[in-house]
Amino acid sequence: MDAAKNEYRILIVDDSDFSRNTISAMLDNSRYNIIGEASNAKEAINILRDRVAHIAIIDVVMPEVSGIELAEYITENFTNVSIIMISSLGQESIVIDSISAGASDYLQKPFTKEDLITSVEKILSNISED
Amino acid sequence: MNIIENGHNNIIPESLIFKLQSSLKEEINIYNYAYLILDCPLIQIKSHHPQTQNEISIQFRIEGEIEGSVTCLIDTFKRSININSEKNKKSIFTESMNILVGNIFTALENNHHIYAICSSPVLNKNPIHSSRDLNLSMSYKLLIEAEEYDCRIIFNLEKNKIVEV
Repeated sequence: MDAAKNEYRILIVDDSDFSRNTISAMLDNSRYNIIGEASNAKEAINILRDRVAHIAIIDVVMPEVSGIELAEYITENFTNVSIIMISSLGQESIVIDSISAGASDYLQKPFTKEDLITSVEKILSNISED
Repeated sequence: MNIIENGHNNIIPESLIFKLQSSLKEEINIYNYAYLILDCPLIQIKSHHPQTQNEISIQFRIEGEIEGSVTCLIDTFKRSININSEKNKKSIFTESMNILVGNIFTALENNHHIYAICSSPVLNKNPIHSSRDLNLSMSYKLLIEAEEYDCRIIFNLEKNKIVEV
């Protein structure tokens, strides 16, 4: 994949407006195109049906369908989408469940802009190699 | 495990209070937008002050080796909040409390091997009830845009799980 402007398409899924806005601001960079923000799993799936994404950043704890359940669904149905899980919880079992659900990385809140960009770039470098 | 009894026949594992206390962070930087600073450490309470008209309340369910709820109240008294900034500040407050509570339970497992997780936060419009089992309270200052808000955090924990910790 070429590293063209806005080439890398990212979806943000979090039930917190503040969290979505913060992540979007952290990724306000010509390399990234935020293709959508969703506050729940249903909205996220609808966006992915309409638009191509390379990465979905998903909060673990959300009402109704959890982030881990959403990650499992995306891994099965949108195989080109890589997943970064985020949560204020950082227990080992939740991290393991997230990775088992198909996540490539896990960031505990509050993370820094550098943590997030490092995680995104690690995934993008693997996409580029493929 | 040490178990003590208070005057209300509640069974209280004193070690759990210590372990929760040692899982608190003095300060948390919320993405450089807000800061949480520990104001009053965790103490056991028999009852708590009712929610005031100026307080916004959100609640988390707690599940795992300890069960119950955590209620967080932010005092907006004498704050000039317009409709847009109120929505924004509520969102910052809610996510700040989510981060605070999540980080406490993460430290509780990492440091003391007690597993508990919190639900997503919900705005709480009902009166807060004290648990018959174990009520704990602490407070943080939340700094947002040079304004300081008092935040009360109340743990209502159920006895049946605590004694197994």
